[in-house]
Order: sequence, then structure tokens, then C-alpha cells
Amino acid sequence: MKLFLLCVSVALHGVALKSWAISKDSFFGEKDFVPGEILVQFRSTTSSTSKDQTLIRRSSLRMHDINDTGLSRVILLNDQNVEQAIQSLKDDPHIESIQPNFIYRMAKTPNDPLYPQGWSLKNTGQIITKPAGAWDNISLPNIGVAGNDIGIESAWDYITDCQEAPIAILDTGINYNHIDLVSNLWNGGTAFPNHGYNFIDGNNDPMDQQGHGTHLAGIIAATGNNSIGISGICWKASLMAVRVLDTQGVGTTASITQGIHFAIQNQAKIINLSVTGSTYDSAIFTAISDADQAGVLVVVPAGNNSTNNDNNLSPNYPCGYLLPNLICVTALDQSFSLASFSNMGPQTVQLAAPGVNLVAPWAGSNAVIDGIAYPSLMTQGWTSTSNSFPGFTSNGWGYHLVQFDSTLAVHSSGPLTSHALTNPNSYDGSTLYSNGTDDRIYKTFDLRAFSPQVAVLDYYAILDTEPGHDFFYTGYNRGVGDPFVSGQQLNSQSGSTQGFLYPFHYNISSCANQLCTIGFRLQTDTSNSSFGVAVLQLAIKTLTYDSITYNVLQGTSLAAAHVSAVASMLMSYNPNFTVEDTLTAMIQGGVFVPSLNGQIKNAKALHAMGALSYIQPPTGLKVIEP
Amino acid sequence: MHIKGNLLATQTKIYPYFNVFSKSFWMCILGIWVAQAACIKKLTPLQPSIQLFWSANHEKAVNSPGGGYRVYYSQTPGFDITTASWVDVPYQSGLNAPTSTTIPNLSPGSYYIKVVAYAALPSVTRTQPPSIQTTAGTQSAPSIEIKTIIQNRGPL
Repeated sequence: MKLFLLCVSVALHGVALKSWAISKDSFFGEKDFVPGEILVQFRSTTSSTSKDQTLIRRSSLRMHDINDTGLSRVILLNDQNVEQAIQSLKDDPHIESIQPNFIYRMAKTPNDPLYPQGWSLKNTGQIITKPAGAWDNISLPNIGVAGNDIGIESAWDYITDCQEAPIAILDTGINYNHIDLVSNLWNGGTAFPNHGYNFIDGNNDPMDQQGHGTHLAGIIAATGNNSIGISGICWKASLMAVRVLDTQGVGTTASITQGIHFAIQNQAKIINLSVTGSTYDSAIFTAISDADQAGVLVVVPAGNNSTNNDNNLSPNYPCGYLLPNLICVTALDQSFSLASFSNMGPQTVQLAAPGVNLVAPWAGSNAVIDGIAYPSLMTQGWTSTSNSFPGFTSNGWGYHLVQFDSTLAVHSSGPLTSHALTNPNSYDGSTLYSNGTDDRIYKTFDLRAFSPQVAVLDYYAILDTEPGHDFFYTGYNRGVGDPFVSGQQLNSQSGSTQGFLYPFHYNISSCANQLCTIGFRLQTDTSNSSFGVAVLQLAIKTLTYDSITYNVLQGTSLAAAHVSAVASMLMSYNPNFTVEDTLTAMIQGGVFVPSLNGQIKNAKALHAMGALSYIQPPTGLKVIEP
Repeated sequence: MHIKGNLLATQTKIYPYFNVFSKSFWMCILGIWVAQAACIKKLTPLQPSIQLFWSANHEKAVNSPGGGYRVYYSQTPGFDITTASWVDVPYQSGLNAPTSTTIPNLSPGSYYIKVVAYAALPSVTRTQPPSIQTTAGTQSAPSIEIKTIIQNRGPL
């Protein structure tokens, strides 16, 4: 088989080399060959002695003839390079043709069992299936086009180890115990034994309490060729876990700027910052500028709102910061079209990369106690109390089927409905809540089923109370009983959501693996009332850490992670690369995707081999005058 | 040695030289040699060369075996490198490929020069329907073109 392949390759090149040997242009188009060797096809009439004499005159030596091919393998002496030798021999009358001894490599494919699912690395048009235990779902249409990938297999022939350019993942943390990540984590020494820092809770445990950061870490550098799970873009890497986003994926100026400076101080070369916001934030801008001064590349997503970032109506930051060390990335689907949720930006979005239906490690297994799928959660088992001021009577909390229109505004004729806890109990758009009362409702949930470490309370509310006088509260309690007596208050709200649903999200992990009581309270003064409160779609989501779960996600964050990984690969392969060199190689070496024209700058998609093989035009050419 | 600028339209004048240190040059000048033909030969200007240098590329593949630079030159401004003369400057050893070379034996006149970096990594092109074609060897786009003038002072 090997001989067959060799014969095929030699035959293919033989066709080209008649012209190759005499054309300077094509001569330099072919460079992947064995240095110090050439293959020479002598004319059939040339004797063995003449062959050797011809070569020795040109400081070359015949090693042996290759069976059945008529080719002689020739070693070059006196430090001749291949180009010089071919120029020197090409006009010799004894020689029919000459060629380099080209190098062929087996395409590198890792043995990870989920690798065939990794369309972004090798798109065969495969259908992506939801991994066992995955929490999220496949996005449709789940249709790929073979060849639309980042071309990583070719790049793996040259580099798989990205450890020389550490990547700080500023996100929800990383599950540093995940079996596919554990060997690729930054060594933080005794100061940071958990491979990073947690700027949400202010400690050195950046364990991922959500999953998103772990997923990005896996895309970047799930250990490759370890017979486990997937392969990351980098088979080896140094991943720094910097938790700047909470269990909902929300961070603050404070957490993010601290995270950026942590990454700079600890010699990260790349910061993967998967955040978006609609407001220009000078503190974040300054922190990214500081990264620029330190020679650190910052990779950010374009956002998942299907909007144009370059439109003044929907600006997006940090994508919109025009800083030389920042690259903003949008997401492609399996057919290399802009993903349906992807933001665009002809000026600010510089590159596209895969961001749909990507399977990667997750923080653990999720479960939910769900008031959406199980309406009885909202309508049964609640304890209601009312404490009215003397002279006042409360009509208290109740259950109600609330109707909405398509904008999720309350509307008496639907078409959407949801079971809700309401106060007043007749939530009909005309009845007002009672003055002079303190109404509470609470229910105990058993969160022990999956022994979770993380528990999160999610619900939506429509709020309409007298601003500054009448208040809606949420509370929870480890164990049983009124959470507003012995538990912890989670919020205090007053005013109006103008008839629209508003999401609420709280980390109640101190209640995980416990009996946990959730409560709501409406406290009113003695004058003026309004339409009250509706609480609906309540869910308690839990996460139980493990080291083996994978999930499938979508988003421009995932696209940014691809770019961070390839940037680390480029910097590791090219030790002299600056941030500017790295960006130039990724953009110039990207592949042109016509459908991206007008949607993003340059209309290019990330291509690892294109970036690795991109060569910048030399600079500083000068003539020295004698 | 004086180094001139490196921008487009940079112009350097290079003069052919006689080997003023040679014994034969001074023997002709002083009339010690009477064989006229020999003296004419000795006083004919030597074919000049120009020396060039440039900044090192940062790509490892340029500064590795199979990598290096090619210097193209032509008497036509804006010339096409595929039809131009060139000097190869391959990587030899050490950290970097050489970043200087000499173009020998030039006749007087204006010359336009560009340098290209190359490497043994395969180059990538995308074709439709979607597939990526790779070919062995990759090279950069040409550098900014510079101009230099070689003037002939003629024999003494």
C-alpha cells in the first residue's frame, strides 16, 4: 500500500515537474520536501557511471535508485539546498527531470470517541447528536456541509501543544476536575491551587457553578488523543480559570476588570472574555488597554441577539472597543452561514468561527424542579399567611392562569398562558391589591434527590406596586417554615414592570442538597394600591458536579473560544509572534466566505492551517550604499 | 557605509567601482604598464553589486529549514515577481534566516527590488464547493518595492 501511494505521488509530481524544473515561479511554490535531497530521473540511455559522474561534478551523491520508477535518490553535499541543486542540474543533458523528495504526512486524527461529533474541527456533514446526560438541546437545522470547518487536522501535523501561550478563560469558572480538562490547567502554584481565581465570591476556587466556562475550556483544550470524550483545538494547553460570571452568567465591571488584571499579572497570553453589554464601560476599556500594554490578546464574542453591532441602536461592548489587541468574533453554523442568533458588524466584527451544536465538557449533571413543565408546582402545596393592619383586610395570594400576548405583556385574551402565584388573588387586570397588609406565601422543596452542590432559583414576575411604599420580596430558608422569619431575603422590589415579564435569578446553593423553603411577600402601606404581583415559571435548577458530563451549546462565545485556541496555537508555534502578528495571521489566513460579505469585516472565517501558514510580507527593505 | 531609506520610491545611487587597491590599477594609471589592451581591461568598470537588508520575519517556518527569503529585482517599476530575476536567501542555521544579501553583476540603470518570505508549510486556499486545497510551500506577498539607481562613471 505504501509503495502504491508512493508511486501515485511520484507519478503525480512527475507530470508537473518537467515545467517545475525550469519554472522559477512554480519552483518556489513547492517547499514541503526533505532538505538536502533530490530525486533525479536520468535519461534511459545514461549509464550508471555517467549518472555518478554527473552528480559528483555538481557536489551530489547518488544514494540509490528507486525500484521501478527510474528515479535516483540523490544526497546534496557542500551545504547545497534543494533549489540550488535543481538549478545546477536542470540543464544537464543526462537528466530527464528533477524534483524534491516531497514530504507526505498522515492526517492527524485524535482517538477521542466523540471526535467524530466535532464538526467545527472536521466537518463531514455529520449529524450532531445530544451527548448522554447533556442538559441542553441540539439546535435545528442540524445540517452540515462537508469541508466547512477550521482546518485543524492539517495544523495538527505541526502543533498540538499550546502550553507556551496560556489562555485565561474569564467566564463562569472551569470544572477543574473534568476528566478531559484536568491535565490542561494552568499551574497556579500554592497561591492558586485550583488553577485560577473566583472574583464572584472572592476566593481562590473558580469551580464552574454554571457550565459555560467549562464548555469553552473544552472547545479550546479538551485533552486530545486521550481516548476520552472530545478533542480540543489544542491537545495540550495551559488554561487559567478566572470566574467573573455568576451562576446566571452575569458579571460586573468589578469582577471583569479584576479578572483581566489577574490574567495579565499571571502571564496569560490570551484572554477569552465571553461577555457582551450594551454600555460603553471605560473601566473595562482601560483594563483591555492594560492587556494591550502587556502584550495580551483579548478575544470577545459579537453577541447573540441577531443584531448589527455597528448600528447605533444596538451597540455591543467590548466588541465595539477599537483596541489593537481585541478581536470580536461571530458564530457560524454547520453550513458556514451566520448563525441565526449571531450579531454582525461590518466594522467591528473581525472574524467568524463555528458556534452552533458544539459538544464539549460540562460542569456536571443538571436537574430542575420545574413550574413550567409541572404547573402543580405553582398551584399546590403553598402556605399563605396574611397579617393586616387593624382596620384592613387582605385578599391575599392566590393561584391564577395568567394570559399574555406574543410580546409577553399581560393580555386578557392570550394567546400565551402560564400558571402564576398572584397577589391580589383575583389577578384580573382591574382588582387592586390590599392596603395595610403583609401577605406571604411559601413552599418547601426537597433538593436532596441528586445531591447537588449548586441550586439556583429562577422565576419571572410582573410587578406593579406603589413605588417606594409597597414592596415585593423574595426569600428562602434552609429547612421548613416562613423564610421571612428565619431565612434569607433575596430581593426587595417596588414599582412597575409596565405589564411585562421580568426575569429573576438567585443562587441558593446554601440550600442545595437540603429541604429548602422558597417564599414571596407583598408588604403594603395604608394608602394607594395597584395591580400587584404575578410570579410565574418558577424553577429550581440544580447542578451536581461530576467529571464526565458533556453538553451541546450554541453561541458566539463558542466561536470566540475557537479563535482563542488558534491564537494560542499560533503563539506557541511562533515564539516571536506579537499580538499583532497573531491577529494578522488569523484574519489574513482566514478563508473567504462569500455569504459573510457585508456582515463582518473581511468576510473571513477562522482557518487554523491558513493562519499557521500565513507569511507576512517582509518589512524594512533597504539598500546599503558602499 | 551609509544606509538610505526604505520606503516606496526610495532611491539609492550605486556607482560601479574600480578596485583602487589593486596593484594593476595603479600600474595602469602611472603608465607603468605599456600593454594597452591589458590596461583597458583593468580600467573597465567592474560590474557593480548592491547590498540589501531587511527586517526578520517573525514566523518560525520562515526561520527554519525550508524557509527563507527571495529578493526579486527588475528594471521595470511595479514588476511581476513571477517574471523577475531573483536571489534566494534560504535559512541556513541558527535562530533566523539571513536578512541580507547581495545582488551581483548589475548593469547601470534603475532597479526595483522587493523581497518575499517563504516557508515549507503548505499553503491553503478555499474553493467552491467548500473544500480547502493545500499545496506544499507557502510564501508571503512581496514587500514594499524600493528603487535604486546604479550609475556608470565610465573608465578613467
